[in-house]
Amino acid sequence: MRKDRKIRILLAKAGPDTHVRGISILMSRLRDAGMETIYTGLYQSPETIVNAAVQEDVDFIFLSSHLGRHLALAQDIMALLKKKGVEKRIALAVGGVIPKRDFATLKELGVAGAFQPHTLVNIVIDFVNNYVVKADKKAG
Amino acid sequence: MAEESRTTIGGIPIKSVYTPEDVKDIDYKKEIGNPGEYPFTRGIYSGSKGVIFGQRPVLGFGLPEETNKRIKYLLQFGMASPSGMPSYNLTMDMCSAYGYDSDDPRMAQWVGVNGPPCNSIVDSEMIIDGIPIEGVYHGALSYAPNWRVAHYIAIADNRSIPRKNIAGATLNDSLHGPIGEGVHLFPLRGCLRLIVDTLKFVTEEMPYFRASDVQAYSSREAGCTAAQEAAFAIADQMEVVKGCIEKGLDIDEMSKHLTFFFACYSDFFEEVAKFRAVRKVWAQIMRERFHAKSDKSLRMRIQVKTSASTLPAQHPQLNIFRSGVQALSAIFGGASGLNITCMDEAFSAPTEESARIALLTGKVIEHETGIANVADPLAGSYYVERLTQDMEDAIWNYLKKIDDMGGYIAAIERGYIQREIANVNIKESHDLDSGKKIVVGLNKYQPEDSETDPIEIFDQDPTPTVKEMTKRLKKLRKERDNARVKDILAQFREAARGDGYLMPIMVDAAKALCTTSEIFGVLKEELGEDHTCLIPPDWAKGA
Repeated sequence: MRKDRKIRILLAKAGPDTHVRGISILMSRLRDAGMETIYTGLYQSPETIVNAAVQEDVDFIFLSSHLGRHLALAQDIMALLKKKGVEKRIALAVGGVIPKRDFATLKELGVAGAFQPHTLVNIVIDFVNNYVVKADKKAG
Repeated sequence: MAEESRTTIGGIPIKSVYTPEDVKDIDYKKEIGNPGEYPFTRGIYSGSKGVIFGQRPVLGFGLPEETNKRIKYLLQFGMASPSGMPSYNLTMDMCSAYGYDSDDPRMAQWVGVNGPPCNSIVDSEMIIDGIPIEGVYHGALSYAPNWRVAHYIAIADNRSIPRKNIAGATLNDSLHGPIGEGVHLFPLRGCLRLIVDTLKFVTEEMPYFRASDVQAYSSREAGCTAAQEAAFAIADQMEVVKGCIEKGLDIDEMSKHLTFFFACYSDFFEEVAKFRAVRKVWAQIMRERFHAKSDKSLRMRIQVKTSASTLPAQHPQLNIFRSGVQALSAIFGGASGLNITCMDEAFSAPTEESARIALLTGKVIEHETGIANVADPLAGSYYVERLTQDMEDAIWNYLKKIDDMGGYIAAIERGYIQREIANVNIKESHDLDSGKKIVVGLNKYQPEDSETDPIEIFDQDPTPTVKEMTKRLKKLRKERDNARVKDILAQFREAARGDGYLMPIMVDAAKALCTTSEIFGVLKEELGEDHTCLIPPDWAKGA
C-alpha cells in the first residue's frame, strides 16, 4: 500500500450477477471515507477484473458476489494476481451471499476479507484501514 | 421518541395515535369503495369471494430434470395459482437468462445456477415432464420471457392442445432490469418492443396468459421505498400500455394480460397501505388516462414475493417469522398471489427443506389463522386509511415528476430513478451503522462469531451440469434439421431488423429446435445491447 496517496479500491462484478445494491452503497460510502473507488461495470471476467486492477493501480479489489460462485471467482482472481506478480500489492476482498463455511477456503486462497450480506459499512471501512496499516508495517 | 421524528420505514411521517380527525377528509365511497368496486382500494374481488391468494415459491436449479423433481416435490405441498390451479414459479439459470447456451465458455460458472439451463424446447419439455400443459398454471418463466413463452406454445402445438388453453404468467418486464437487480440485455426501446410483441400474441391467442408482470420486486430489493416501488411500477406499466395502444391493441383486451409483482417489506402497515394505494392509483390511471371502459381493465392484479433482502444471515431461523409477518401484510393488503421467501436467502439458493417451510408458512396462514376469511379487514382503521391516503399522495408525487421528465424510460435515461434508489440505500446504510435503524442479529443482538453456518446450505456446482448439457447440445445440433434452423433464423433476423412480428417466428424456431444463443444472438445484434444498471451513470465514472 502506498502512504503518499488515497487508498484506491476496484469494485467488481463478475458474469451475469447484476446485484449491485451493495456496490452502489460502498461506492459512495468509501468515497466519503476518503478512499477512491473505481467500478468495473457489469459482466466482467476474472481477467478483465485483474487487468483493470493493475491498470488502475488499486490497493484492493472488492468482488461482489450474489450467485454462489465466489470460490471459483476468487480462485481465478488470486491466480491471475499471482501470475502478474501483484498479489502482494493488490489485495482481494469478497462480499455478498457467502456462507461462513467458505470463509476458511477463501482465506486459504489468500483472500484478505469476506463479508456477508448487509455488513455494516463502518466495519468494511475499518477493515480496509486496519489492513492498510498492517500492510504498511509489514513493508516497514 | 419525539413525535415529529416518527416515520414509516419509507419515510412517511406518522403519529403515535390516530383518531376520526385523521380520516375526516376521506370519503368512503369516492376514495375507498367496497371490495371489488372502483377505485379498488379494498381489493379487486367482491366481498363474497373473500380473500384469494395463490402460493408459488420461486424455484429452479441444476439440470432440467432436477428442477422437474423439485417442482413435483412442492406440488405435493399445494403450490397453486390464485385461481387454485396447480402451479409453479420457475426461474432459469443465469446462462440462459442472458441468452447463451450452456456450452458457451464465458458462461461455464453460471450453468444451472439460480435455475435450470434451457437451451431449447427439449429442456423446457424436460422441466415440465409429467406436468400437463392444460389444467396447470405455468408460472413466471422470468428470464428471456418471450422465448420461454414460445416454448410453451410450441409444446402445446406439438401435443395438439389449443393455445387458448395455456394458462400462466411471465414476468416479461425487461424495462425493470436497469433499476433493479434483474437481467438487462437490450436498450430500453428494444425491451419495450419485445414486451409489446408478446402482449400482442397473448391478447390475440392466449386469453389465460398474463404477459406483462411488472417486476417491481426487483427495484424494491435494490433498495427503493414502498412509495417509489409502487410509482416506478406504475410508470413502467404505463410505457407498456402506451406501446400497446400505439401498436393498435385494444386497451380492454390487452389489459387482461397485465399483472404486477411487488415485494413486501417489514413495515407492516406501510406495506398494507402500499397495496391498497397502488391499486387505487392504477385504477384511476387506466380509467382517466387510458380511457379503459371495462371494469376488469381497472383491476390491478398483485403478486407478492416477501423480501429476500430483509433476511439477514444472522439467526436465520428468525427469517421464517420475518417472512411470515410480511406475508400477513401482503394478505391484509389484498395480494392475489403470494410467494414466501425462504429463510436461507443470505446463504445460497434454497434447500428442499427451506422451500417446503416457506410454502407451508403460507398454508398455516391460509388454514389456521382465519385472516383470509374476510376481505380487507383493516379497512376503517384510522391509521390504515390515513396512511393509505398519504401513500397514494406520495405515489402521485413521483408519478408527476416522472411524467414531467417524459415518462419512465426517459427518467431512467436521465439517471433520475437510479439516483433516487441510491439515495435511499446510502441513508439506510448510515442508519444501520448508527443504530438508528435496528435489524435483529445484524446491528443488535448479534450471534457469537462462528466458523460454521447456523443452517444447512444448498450446494450448487455447475461443473457436472455444464458437462451434461454440453453433451446434450452437441447431440441436438447434430440431429436436428439444420437447413430448417438456418432458414427460420434468417426469417427471424429480417423481422427483428425491421418492425416484424417476432413471436410467431419464435414459436417456429422453438419447434425447429433452435437454441437460446441462436435466438438471442440475433436479437443482440439487431436490437443492440445495453448495460444500463442501478448505479447512477454519473457515479460510475470514477472518483
